[in-house]
Order: sequence, then structure tokens, then C-alpha cells
Amino acid sequence: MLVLKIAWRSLLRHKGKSIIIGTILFLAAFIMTLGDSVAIGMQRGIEDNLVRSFTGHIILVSNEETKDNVLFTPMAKPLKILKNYERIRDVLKAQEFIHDFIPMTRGGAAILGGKSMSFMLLFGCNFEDFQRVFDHPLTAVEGTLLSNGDHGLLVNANWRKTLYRLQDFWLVPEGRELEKGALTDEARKELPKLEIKRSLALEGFGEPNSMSKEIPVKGITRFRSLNNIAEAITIVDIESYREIFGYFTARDIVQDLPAAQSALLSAKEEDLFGSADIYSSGSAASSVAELEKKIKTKTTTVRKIDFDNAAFNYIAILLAPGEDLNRSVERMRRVVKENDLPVKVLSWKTAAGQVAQISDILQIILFVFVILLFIVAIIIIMNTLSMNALERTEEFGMMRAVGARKGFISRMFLAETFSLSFLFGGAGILAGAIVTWIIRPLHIGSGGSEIFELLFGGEVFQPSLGVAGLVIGIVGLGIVTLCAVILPLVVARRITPLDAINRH
Amino acid sequence: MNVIELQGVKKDYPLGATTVHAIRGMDLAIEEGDFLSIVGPSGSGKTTLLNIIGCIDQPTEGMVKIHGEDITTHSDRMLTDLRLHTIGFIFQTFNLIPVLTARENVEFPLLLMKKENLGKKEIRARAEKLIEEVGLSEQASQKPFELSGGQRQRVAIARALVTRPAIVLADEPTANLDSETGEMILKLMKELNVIEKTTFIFSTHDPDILKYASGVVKIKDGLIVG
Repeated sequence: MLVLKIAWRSLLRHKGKSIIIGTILFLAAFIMTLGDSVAIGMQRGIEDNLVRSFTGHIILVSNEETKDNVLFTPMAKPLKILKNYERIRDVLKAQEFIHDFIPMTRGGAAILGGKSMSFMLLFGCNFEDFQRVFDHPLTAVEGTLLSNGDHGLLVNANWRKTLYRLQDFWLVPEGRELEKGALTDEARKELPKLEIKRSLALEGFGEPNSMSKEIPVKGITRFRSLNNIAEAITIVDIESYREIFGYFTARDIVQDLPAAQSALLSAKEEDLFGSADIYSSGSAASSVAELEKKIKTKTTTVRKIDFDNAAFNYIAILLAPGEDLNRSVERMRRVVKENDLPVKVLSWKTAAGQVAQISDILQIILFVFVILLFIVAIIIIMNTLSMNALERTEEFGMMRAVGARKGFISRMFLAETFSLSFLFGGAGILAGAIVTWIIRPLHIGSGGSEIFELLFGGEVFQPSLGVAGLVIGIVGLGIVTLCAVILPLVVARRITPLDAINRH
Repeated sequence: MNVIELQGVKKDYPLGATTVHAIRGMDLAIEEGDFLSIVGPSGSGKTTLLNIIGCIDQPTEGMVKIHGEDITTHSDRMLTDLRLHTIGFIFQTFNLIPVLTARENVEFPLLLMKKENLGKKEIRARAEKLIEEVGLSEQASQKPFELSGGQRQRVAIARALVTRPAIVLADEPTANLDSETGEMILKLMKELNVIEKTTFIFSTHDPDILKYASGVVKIKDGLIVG
């Protein structure tokens, strides 16, 4: 009580210095809180809009894969095909830290028949599984999404614009009319003779068995957010993907033949070619004609592909809520080793390459900014407090002369500084929280900038504080105060009664 | 019985490239209940001697005993506790905590004495009694800047006595006071000396106040000369 009484009265007595230190603490806490809210908003945005919408937390690729940057490399060779997918799947299903997972393919495909050579980054999957695992991240702005058994492309709305700039054609979903409202200004100017395409001729890039195929555009889509960053992601059904990349496994080509073809295969030689006599009587020829007729009237084959048994390039894994990414990656590596799975474990940050790196760099820039701010604040506060301690030599020396221990001086000094920190720093945190609260509903857009999209963690600025942000703010303020008070405290503790007498 | 004993005490101060010999070898024994005056011209070493006896400064050489215990080997904490419990110090001018009232200043040392477990009421009663004795009851709630020099010095005396110390040291306690107030303060000190058997040691170069002293120690150039 005595300490607090003296501390409070001293603060009021030295109003000027209290206000200077308090203002610095207020500004530091305010800017730090805003920085925290941006960083937390960014993390949450990236988690919701990228990790939980597309990449997953952990990516498994073949252990023969040499590169780690496996997701967003356009014109890249397809990834190696995963071996023993069934075993990998069974192991993953048994892991409680895994919420869900989806096998996928990824490769670059050349767009044929365009003005110039262009590539698309294709991701093949069972689309219904994709929507389920990632909680429906894609919506169709034109056309439809892929339903079970559909073959086709889902092209991002932003990528359609990019393609128009590169190729001079405008993509419209199969069976749909042109929506003029969606056209870019440049495309609208070309309207009378604007080339419309409802399918793309694609050829898998980098696989020896690649082939070309005309694949219909089923839908023009958008992700929940981050569409500038994710615009190059084109989703395709897994069968079309495997077809253009030549991923035919023995199981894939097992087909149920139509009755006509089965009949043809089971027909006796004599039925097809008559007797051994080279000159036919004509009866056999009529059988052949009948068979041919049957074949011509019903030639469609029905392919049945078991997706889990087919070829995949990677598996995207979503972690159970609350699981830590780094610990889970290590845990996954142990699981892989224990089960001798032929896969390499990557965190999404590693697999996403540049996208994650830029995100990390932005986080580091924010962090460095806050640290610099801390250092400046600490130096100014330290300097002011040290001067204050020296100016109070007589007061402290006299207290020591009448029997106050160094601990008393320390407690008094700390009480003064932390009172200022609590009042002004607390006000700064509160002001930061209020500004965050005001900014959030304004929905400030990223203006199409990928950097701002990453900084915002989405297409709109959604700073977020929450309990975690407030705790970080309070802890940060405590650290600033503690760092700033150490040296002045040493100065104050060193003051002796003799110093006070000499000073006088 | 000797309350204070000094044996071969020397005190040197570095001053630039030279050394100032403030005390050049003193032997002194002070008995309980003494009302001792230390006199001498400015710079003779009076304040240095009081600082050493008061555990505020350490001698360069020699031994200082308080109640038979050599304090020159004491830690800072032990010296602080000795100042709190055994010694009352009245400084020449700087003396009060500016943010506390006169009453709170007097209570301050008692609030530091945790071992004694003094209750709030007792602390207040002891402070009030001394404030009354120094004639400042009406000014008890005033801050130091609202008091005159004499009133501040009387608060300092009350504070020095509130812990009922065995020794009270006063460095020119009347130097900044008018003669009437100075005399009143010395009378008060003498009264307490007689009633409480408190040992008083005060420095002065005012010959008029020597009449109150039971003994006089004359100092010149860092040596006891009489």
C-alpha cells in the first residue's frame, strides 16, 4: 500500500514525464495491437481461404519426388505417381490427428489451338470428395460444378480473364449462353466477333504417354477468397486428367464390354470366316454382317474407375481442430517411417512454395516492424525513466538513509512504471481493439493485389484480435515495460544516501 | 557503556588525480545517553564523521562499532536495517519525501519496520504524538512544500525519533533555521535525551548551541583536536 501510495503520488507529481512515458506506451501498445490484429487476421485468412480451402495442412507426395515446392509450379512436370495408395489410405484413416484427406493429381497442361502456347495448372480429383473435404470452397459463378461422373473443367473467373488476354478467346461453360456482364472491357469491345470457347483442347505436359483431349468447360468458379492467388488453379475430373496424362493402370483398362462386342469376341471362327474353305458359301458372311450391324448400332463402352485405386500424385491432409502444424508434420513423418510408406511428408508451407514464402515474409515484416517499434519505445522510455531516477536522487537517497532497502526502491519504481503501463498501455490496446473493430466491417478490398490478398489473408481486410491478440498485446506491453524499466531500476537501486548528500 | 566506538578511522576521497583525506585517524568512544556536539570549521570532517557513524558511509581504514558490533564488514542490507532500527538521522536540509504529508513522513520508517508488526493504529498514534511534541499538529496533513524550513526540520526530527532509536545523528540541525526555532529544536532534542536516554550526536559550528551539549568533540583537518 505504501509503495503504491508513493508511486501514484510520484506519477502525479512528475506529470510531464508521466505523460511523455505514457504517450509512448500508448502509441506502442496501439500500433502493436493493430499489427497483431493484421497478423492474426492474415493467419486466420490464410488458414481458412488457402489451407482449409485447397492445400490442406500436410501434403504427401511420392518419396521419389525431388522437389518440395509441389503445388503451385506452372509448366511443371507432373508429380510422381504415389505407390501403394490403398495402404497409405488405410494408415491415414487410422490417425486421430487427421480430420480428413483427399488424393489428388497435379500437372501442367498445354492449351492447344490457341493464339499462342499457354499452360494451365490442372488439379484432378473426385470433385465431390474435394468439396466435402474442404467444406465446399468452390462456387460456380457461371455454369455448374462437377457432379459425380461429370467430365470437365472448372476454370477460375480470374483465370478466364487472364486466358482472354493471352489467347483472345472467352470461355463460356458448356451449354450456356455468353453472360455479357462478366466480360472484361477489352472483351466487350470485341463483342461482335468475340471468339467463344466452351471447351479446351488440352495435352498433358511432361508425361511420355500424354495425349490431347477436348475437355468441356463445366463451370466458371470462384474460391471463397484469395482468387487472385488461386486463379491459376483449374479443377478437372480425375478421369479426364488421367486420360490426358496417360495414367492408365492395368485396372483402369478393364472394361465391361457391351453385349455386341462380347458376342464378337465369343464368336466362333467359322461364324466369322465360314468354313476352312477360303471361298465362303456366304452364310458366314451374313453372320459377320449381323455382328457388324450390332457393333455399329451400339459401340459405347462404359469405363468403371475406382478412384482410390487409380493413380494419384499427392494427398492433401486436413488436421483435426487444435492440432499444431509442425508437431503434426513430425508425427506424420514418424507414422510414415513406422509403416514404411513410400511417401514424403511436406507441410503446406513447404509445398505451396512462393505463396507461403510471401505470406511468411509479410508476417516477418510485420513482426520486425513491431520489434523495431518495441526497441524504439524501450529506448525512449528507458532514457526518460533513467533521467527521472537520477533527478530523484535526493528522494531515493533519503528513503535509503531512513531505512528503506533496495527492494523497497525497486518495488516503488516498478509500481510507478507498471501503473503507467497499465493505464496508458491498456488504453493503447483498447484503442487498437476499437480501431480493429471499426475497420473489420468496412470490408476494405485488396484491389486485386496479390500482396494485399496475402497480407489480408483474403480479398478483404479482416483484421482480427480475439482473446489471443489481446493476450499477445498484454504480454508484449509487459515485455516492453520490463525491458524499459531494467536499466533505470538499476540506476535507482544504486542511489545511496551518500549520493543524495553529495548531490545536495 | 559505549554505544559507539571508533578505532583508527580514516576516510579518503578521490578528487581528480589527488586524494582528499577527510578523516585522518580518529579514536572516539560515545556512551549511552550522551548529548555530544561535534564542532569544527567547514571542511573539517564533521559530516563525514556523522555519515560513518550513521552507516551512510564506510571508512577507508579503521573500525566502527555500534553496540559493540563492527559495522565495517556489514552488507548493505544489514547497514540499512541498522539505520532503520538503531539510528535516527536528521539531515541539514534534504530530509522529507515530497509526495507524503508531514504525518506520513513521520510514519514512513515505522511502515518499513515489518518485523515489529506494528498496527496501523499504533503507527498513527506514535506519529501523532511526536508531531504534537514538535508542535506541528495543525500542519500534519500538509506536504513538505507547504511547510517552512523550520517546520520541515521539526518533521525530520519527529521522523528520526519515531522508531525510538538508540542513536540520533543530526548534521547541523539548526543551520537553516532562525535562532528561535533552532533553540526550540535543541530543547526538544535535549528533552528526549533526558527522558528517553537517547544518545544524540550533532554537528554544529554555532557556539551558542554548545551550552546544551554534555560533551564536545572538536575536529580540525580530519583529526580530533579536543
